[in-house]
Amino acid sequence: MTIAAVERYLFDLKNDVLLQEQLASSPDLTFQGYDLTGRERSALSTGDLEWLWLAGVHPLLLAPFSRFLGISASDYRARMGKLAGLRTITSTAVSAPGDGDPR
Amino acid sequence: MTAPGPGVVFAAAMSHAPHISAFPELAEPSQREAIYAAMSELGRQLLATDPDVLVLVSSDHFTNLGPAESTQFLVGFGSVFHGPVEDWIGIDKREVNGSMRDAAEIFDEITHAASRVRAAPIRLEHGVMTPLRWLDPDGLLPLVPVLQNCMMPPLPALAECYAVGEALARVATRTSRRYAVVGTGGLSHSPGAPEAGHIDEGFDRDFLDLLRHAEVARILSLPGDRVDRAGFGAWEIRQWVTALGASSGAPAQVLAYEPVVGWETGCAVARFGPDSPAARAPHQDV
Repeated sequence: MTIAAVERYLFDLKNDVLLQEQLASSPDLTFQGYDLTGRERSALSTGDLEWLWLAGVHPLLLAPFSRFLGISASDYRARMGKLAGLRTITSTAVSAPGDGDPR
Repeated sequence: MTAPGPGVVFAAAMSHAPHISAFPELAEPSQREAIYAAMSELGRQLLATDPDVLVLVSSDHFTNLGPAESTQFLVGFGSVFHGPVEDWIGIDKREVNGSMRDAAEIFDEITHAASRVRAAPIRLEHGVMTPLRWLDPDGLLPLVPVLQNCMMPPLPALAECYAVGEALARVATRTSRRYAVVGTGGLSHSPGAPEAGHIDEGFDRDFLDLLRHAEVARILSLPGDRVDRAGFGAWEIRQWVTALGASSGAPAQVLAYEPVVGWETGCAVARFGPDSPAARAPHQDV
């Protein structure tokens, strides 16, 4: 499983104010031009941080995304804290714990 | 032909967590004051060496280097930079003067020392702007930012980062410029991850001890999995290693270390080789 398209989308979102504004009004439109699967679109549009984390998204792309969704820092920490130990980041790979859908 | 100059007159490293400037109230007061005092002292020492340019080596947090980027070293190329890109770190946005002359020399030299190097205009994030707030708050020095990949494996080897530091020293000597080189980032932390807030104090203190004793060989052979256990933010020790290389492996004087839970970071400030011959040499215009 690759989350390259998700990370490319989140990178662009982090650096494009107009895209951030569009996310609030018409999230589906922001996905245009990205080769996202249906599950990825669903996770992004519903703010499913847990799925995105387990799918292998880099934490420094996930945290800014949560801010754009209006999720408070304390809520983000609380939600992420429940995922401790479920995925390991190593310097040889930032990746999901296994292949396939993380749930 | 210009005679070789004094080279690197100042080399140091420090943490750059955005919390340092964004959320001072989250740190224990004694820890906050220790870190703030050390960063201010480092800035005082830096300016006292009368450098021509400040080379600030940082990581990039997905502002200039994308997740599929193959670049390992990005030399910021511009006469003026803008930052910080973040609007939440307690630092006003401003212009920072660059030095295209030095950036060009640095890019050329680094390409001989490392792979996947490029130069480009960049936007400045907290990795540069937070240290600058204490090191050069009045914007007296032209800046050359050098960004290293500390986010997406494969990461540059520690030895390669050290070689980049040595390359910086060669440029300074060849061009008769007085370089201040400061690496920023680390130590242990895991920003944005479930483990955020976990600080590996044992790793941090061991690493600082290796720096104090200039154990270059041991530093360059630190096992990747040991660094990983300190959190992926500890990958940013690469900038400390680059600054160490710029000092030719000089012993570190650690000005402060505090495991600041509220800032979710093992925060440290250190200077390498404050008694180096280059640092003692008087400034000569070229």
